[in-house]
Amino acid sequence: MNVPARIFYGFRRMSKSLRLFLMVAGPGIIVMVADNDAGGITTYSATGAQFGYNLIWFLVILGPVAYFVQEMTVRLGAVTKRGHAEAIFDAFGSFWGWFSIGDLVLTDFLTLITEFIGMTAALGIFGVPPLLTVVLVIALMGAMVVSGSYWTWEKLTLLFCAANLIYIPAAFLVKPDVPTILSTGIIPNFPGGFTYNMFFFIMANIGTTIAPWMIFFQQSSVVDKGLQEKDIKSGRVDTLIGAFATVLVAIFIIIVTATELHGQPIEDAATASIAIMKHDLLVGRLMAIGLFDAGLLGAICISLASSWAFGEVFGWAHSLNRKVKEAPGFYVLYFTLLVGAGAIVLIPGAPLVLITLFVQVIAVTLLPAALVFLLLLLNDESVMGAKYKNTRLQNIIVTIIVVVIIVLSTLYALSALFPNLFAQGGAL
Amino acid sequence: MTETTRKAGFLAKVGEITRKYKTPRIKATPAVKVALLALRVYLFVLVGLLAYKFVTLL
Repeated sequence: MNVPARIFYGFRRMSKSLRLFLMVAGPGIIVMVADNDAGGITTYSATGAQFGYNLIWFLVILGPVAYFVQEMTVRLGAVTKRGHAEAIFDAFGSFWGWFSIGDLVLTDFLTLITEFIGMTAALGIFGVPPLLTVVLVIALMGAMVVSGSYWTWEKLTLLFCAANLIYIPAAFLVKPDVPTILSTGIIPNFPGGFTYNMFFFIMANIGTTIAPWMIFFQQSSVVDKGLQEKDIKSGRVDTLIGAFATVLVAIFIIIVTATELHGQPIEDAATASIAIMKHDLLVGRLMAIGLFDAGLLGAICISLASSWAFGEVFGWAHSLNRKVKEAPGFYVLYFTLLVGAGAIVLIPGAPLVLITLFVQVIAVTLLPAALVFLLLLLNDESVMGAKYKNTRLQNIIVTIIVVVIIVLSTLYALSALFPNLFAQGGAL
Repeated sequence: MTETTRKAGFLAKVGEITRKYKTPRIKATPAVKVALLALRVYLFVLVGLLAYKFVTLL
């Protein structure tokens, strides 16, 4: 074959692979980018303001960790054609099933409230009243699902994922000192030692990168999209791109707040946006738009994770490919969660700080359970078959991740429940 | 459909699901048994601590 023909066929092969990938891509990118939700943006903003560029290396580590956990859901969904909730009921029995779904719905609902807190605060910066924000968000999210097409929902959600990249130009606009970022951010270090405060931020960053709803969401999404075993390879690439995007966005958020707000106490992302607007109006506005988009993405995915899980277990029609009339239970739960969470944010004097703290503690109780179930399911040959079950290397990597997360989660839960337990002396 | 009928229907469905998934299907290897036992202990301790915290806060 001559050179032009070889180039032509090579290009055609690549183009075909790309088309196939684009058909499969979606769940991995969406779940990973939505992981940078309103709570996540607050965590990264506060991390940058508190520790400067020094914890960027930790986020670089969290990217592969998130990939290894989420990749398992792709295989599990594609092989079993079942969502995570149904898989837990079937494999571990009703006790663990009810525990998981109860914890999931509670955590999702509380997290959904925090998404609305973020969205109302973000649009509040532009003078939009909270009531209008809540109504607009519910209307938008309703419009996204009423088409009765997973494809339409997914493409619209991917547009919001693209908007999450707004933090990248924001970071360039603040003109950070690149040599300082490279010298302080890439090499592992704990500025000021491994204090209780440092531990809190480390755990907050883990908690925003790996969350129980992500496991449930991606597996259900893979099933709803109809991915097969042959699509696992593309599903892995999809998840890898998503993991890269989520870490990239997180790093750029840290760069913005570390450059603009280092040393200032930042309690939430909206406060960070307002503080930045005093120095740089455009960057502050970009941060606020990003916060709204992050809350919206989180709300889209979290409300669906619960609806899918309930639909699977209760045997309701539970697909975005069904119209509202064809899957009433699925959509009623979806809108009930949205309206309920939105309404709570509008209650004057609602204990929003307490809710945020509760989200962290309850999510911690589900995370180890969700990870253990995932690991056990991926090792069961009767579920996965010999070809798709975890390899020895995957087991070693994931077991290390699970053990480290369980130990840290337990310490985190204890520190949240008993703040004085670790705070004495300042260091762990 | 009245509220009572709806509640009864929901509870009946919950009971049906509980019966359907009564027996775990996963192969009970030693690793699975140990993992589930450890998980029960972990959750028992954590829920106990949550309850303790709640009671002491009251």
